Amino acid sequence: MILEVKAASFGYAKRTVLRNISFKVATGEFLCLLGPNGVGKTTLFKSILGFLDVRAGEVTLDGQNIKKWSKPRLAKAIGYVPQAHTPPFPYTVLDVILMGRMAHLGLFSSPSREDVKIAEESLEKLSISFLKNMTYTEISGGERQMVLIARAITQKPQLLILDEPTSNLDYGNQVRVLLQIRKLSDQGISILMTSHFPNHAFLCCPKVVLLNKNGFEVGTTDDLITESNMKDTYGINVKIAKIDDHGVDIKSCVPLTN
Amino acid sequence: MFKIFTKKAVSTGIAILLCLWMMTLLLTGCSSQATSTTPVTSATPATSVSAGNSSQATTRVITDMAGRKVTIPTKINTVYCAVPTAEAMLYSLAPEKLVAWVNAPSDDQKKYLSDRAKNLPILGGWMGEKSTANLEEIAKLSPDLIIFMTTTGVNNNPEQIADSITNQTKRPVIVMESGFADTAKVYRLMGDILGVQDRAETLASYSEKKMKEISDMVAKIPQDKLLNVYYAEGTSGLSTDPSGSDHTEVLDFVKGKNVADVQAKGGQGMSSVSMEQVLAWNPDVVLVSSNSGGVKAYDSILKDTSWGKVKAVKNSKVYMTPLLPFGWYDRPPNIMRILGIEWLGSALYPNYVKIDLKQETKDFFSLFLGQKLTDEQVIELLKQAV
Amino acid sequence: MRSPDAVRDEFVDNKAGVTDVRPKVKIRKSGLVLVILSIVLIVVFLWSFTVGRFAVPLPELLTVFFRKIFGLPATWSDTTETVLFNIRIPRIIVALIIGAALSASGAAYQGLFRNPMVSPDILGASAGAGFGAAMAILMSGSALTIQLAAFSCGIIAVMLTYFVSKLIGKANNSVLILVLTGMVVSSLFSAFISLAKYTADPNNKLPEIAYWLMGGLTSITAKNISMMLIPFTIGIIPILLLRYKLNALAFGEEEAQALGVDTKKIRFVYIICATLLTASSVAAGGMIGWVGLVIPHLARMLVGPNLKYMLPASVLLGGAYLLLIDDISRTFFTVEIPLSILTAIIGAPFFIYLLAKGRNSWT
Repeated sequence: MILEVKAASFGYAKRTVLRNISFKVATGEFLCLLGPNGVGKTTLFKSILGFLDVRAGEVTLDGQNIKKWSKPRLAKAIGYVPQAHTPPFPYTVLDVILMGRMAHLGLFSSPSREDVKIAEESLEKLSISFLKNMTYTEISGGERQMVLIARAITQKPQLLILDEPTSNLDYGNQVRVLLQIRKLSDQGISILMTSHFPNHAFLCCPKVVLLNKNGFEVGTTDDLITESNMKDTYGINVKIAKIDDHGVDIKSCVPLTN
Repeated sequence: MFKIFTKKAVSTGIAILLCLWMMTLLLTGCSSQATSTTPVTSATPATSVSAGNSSQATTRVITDMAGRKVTIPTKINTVYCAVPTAEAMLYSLAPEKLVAWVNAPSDDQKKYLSDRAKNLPILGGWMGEKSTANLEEIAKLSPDLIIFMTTTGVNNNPEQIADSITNQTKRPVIVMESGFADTAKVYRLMGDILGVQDRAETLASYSEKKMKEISDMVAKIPQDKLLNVYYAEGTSGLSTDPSGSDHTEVLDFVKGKNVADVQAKGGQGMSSVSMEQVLAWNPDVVLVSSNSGGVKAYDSILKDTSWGKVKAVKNSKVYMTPLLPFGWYDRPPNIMRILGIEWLGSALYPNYVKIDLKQETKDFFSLFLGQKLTDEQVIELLKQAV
Repeated sequence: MRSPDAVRDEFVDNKAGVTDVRPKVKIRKSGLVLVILSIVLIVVFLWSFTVGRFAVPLPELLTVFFRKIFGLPATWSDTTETVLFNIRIPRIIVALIIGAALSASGAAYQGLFRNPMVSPDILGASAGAGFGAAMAILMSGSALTIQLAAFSCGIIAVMLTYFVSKLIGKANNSVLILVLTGMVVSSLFSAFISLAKYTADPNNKLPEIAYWLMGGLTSITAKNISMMLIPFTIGIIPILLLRYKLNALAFGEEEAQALGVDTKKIRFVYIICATLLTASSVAAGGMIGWVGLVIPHLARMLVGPNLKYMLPASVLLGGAYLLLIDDISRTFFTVEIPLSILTAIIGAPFFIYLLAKGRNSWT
């Protein structure tokens, strides 16, 4: 499935935040959205998901404008992983993950045994089966984030949109989650993710959209994450280092103190 | 910030404040002067001008029926009743002194009132749960006397309300007992206060005579012939008042056994009961309150299937309390209950209370209300009541 | 593939002096609880027939039902027949329906507005219905007129809330604006009720209005059942059918939409249905509070917040609860105690107890 953003502008009633953005996420592609706070990453997401109207240009899925996609159809295709927050009622983790099946259920149905199996598979895939019967509101923020990812993949989407999925996770879990997402991408799910850390892109993500005061740029991680781009985007000095790990080059973005 | 306190600003401010203060003084001064002189709207010649005539006192102190010592004018020309309870009494005793009604009389009521009474102003009053009194109108009319008629039993504090009415209206307020047994006593006391002793004596002795007649007649009824009565109030007839309440004095007097063993509620009364409870009581007679449920309740009781299982309804012993021009039974509990006991006594126990109700009605209306009733009018008054 | 335990150890360090303080996980058998609640309801229903001011001894009661079922001739008095079939049965059924309706409405609104402190009156249905009834009483309407007026005004009040909130709200704060507008409309109609009471003649109309507002099923007849059944069925069926989808709204408007739920439509349908339930309940029984607020909490404590189980649980619990309270109201004393007084006296402390016990029933 191909998500295409064609010369689109995004914003709210009173102001336009992003202008004339174009990029494409093809089937199985993994795209990382990088940019400083306030540049409009969340606005972009909300518009793609249909919460905000696209102010100019268009966003298409498989060639069809998303405005023409019905909400259930959109939900079957796109899985959304927001930042974890606290709902007012103490649902169990399994309940939360099962809600991912809503798009596939009829209007009056509740999840069947099949659906429960799919949910349990998602738990397995992310290695969090032990959370199954715990109360969602009582587990840690990082665990909640994992549950939300599990919910999104339970939707069996073709595109996953993740809004900073590693916030609240410790270093180890950050890496594990990103590698997990990479695995999903390898299995054919397209991924669109925001991050605050260029190293995340180096870790798992081959394609990047960079949003900064100069506008936007689309390209490979290697091409776009350069010292001057980082200076333009984040306003700090960095050094891009290359590390040899058994013959494989791993790049890393290291901040400088001067 | 302190810049605003310039000399000019401060002096202007003080000047304005002084002006306001003087204006307030003037206004309150005028008004307090006004209340201490006789208002021009009083219809009678000056009663409280104390110049000259020092040999004849213009006021006197009486003890009202709550034990309060009240200073009232010796000559009283205008009277206002703070509660409707006293209106019938005053209208029968000295109708020309009645200066206003608490509630507007209905068209039906007006049929039995004098022309003058039909057009009296409506001032509202102190109606228990709600005070509708228009204080300014009362101040304008400035009655010589205000009567507050209520039960003065052990649990009531009529003094508080009487005193507060005095404070609010600045007119003398006397408390009169509304209990049925004191009817003659009230007449005599009021006759003395209003200077209509002869009239009062006539009405008082008539009341005493009738009360004794009925009382003697019902005393003869054997225990097993006493009837169970349910007093139905409210639109559905499922509200009631028990024995001992001031709403049911007539029933108690004629020895009807009130089935309701509920807690008496003060004020407007009306305790709510269920249909099942009424069926469990299965009264011999049902009295429908005309003031509270009215014809609607009467009709629905006669038509309803559940009510149809009650003994009283099966035997067609459902009576509506007559209410013109003032309630004969209650709401408010007033002197027409003299006629009320005659009506109810003969309705409940015709074999023991042998009276000519039609003639009694004509006599009462003629003597107390100055109305000559035709036969048709009597039938109209007693409709659905016998 | 690492074992789950090994993975878990990475999340929870049991070794280095950090203790696992997770609460014991209990797996709720929600389905079983629902069955138990149904049984409770049936028991309360049957017991309600045996109580009342008019004594019907148990043997006689059983005889009546036995003979009725098999079409045998009556061996009991006419009055007993009237009491049982004209008075008690309608009242029991209506109490059940109202209890179920208010609880379903409360549960639905709590899910819709993501707030466990919400009651069915939140959009103004109760205040509007009360006003309609007060006006009808002032104009000396019949019992039927009063009920129709109450019902219509309840609906009108909510329509007012809905359309005003649509006018002034924007897409992203629609729920908040709805709640605030509801509060305003409720206050407005409450003020009108006070105005009606003020102008009412204190001898008849005022006590009648006051009594009506305090709630009671004294005058329920068989006709009430058929009148109530229509809005009740129209209201409760969509609420029950769509209940699983309502779960998504707990996570917020946007997430729910991302999960494929048409939040605008669901909100619209739920508001209509809950309003039908609330308005018809107030029209038949006066303003009965504390049921729509407390019962969903109890249901949540018993079966969890998943509306798949929680809504039916609310319905069953609510019906049994109000039926029980009405039994108390009509049996214990000669005088009828208005329902709203009983639900408040019993409901408020009960709610505090629930708050203390069920601190987990919301976050």
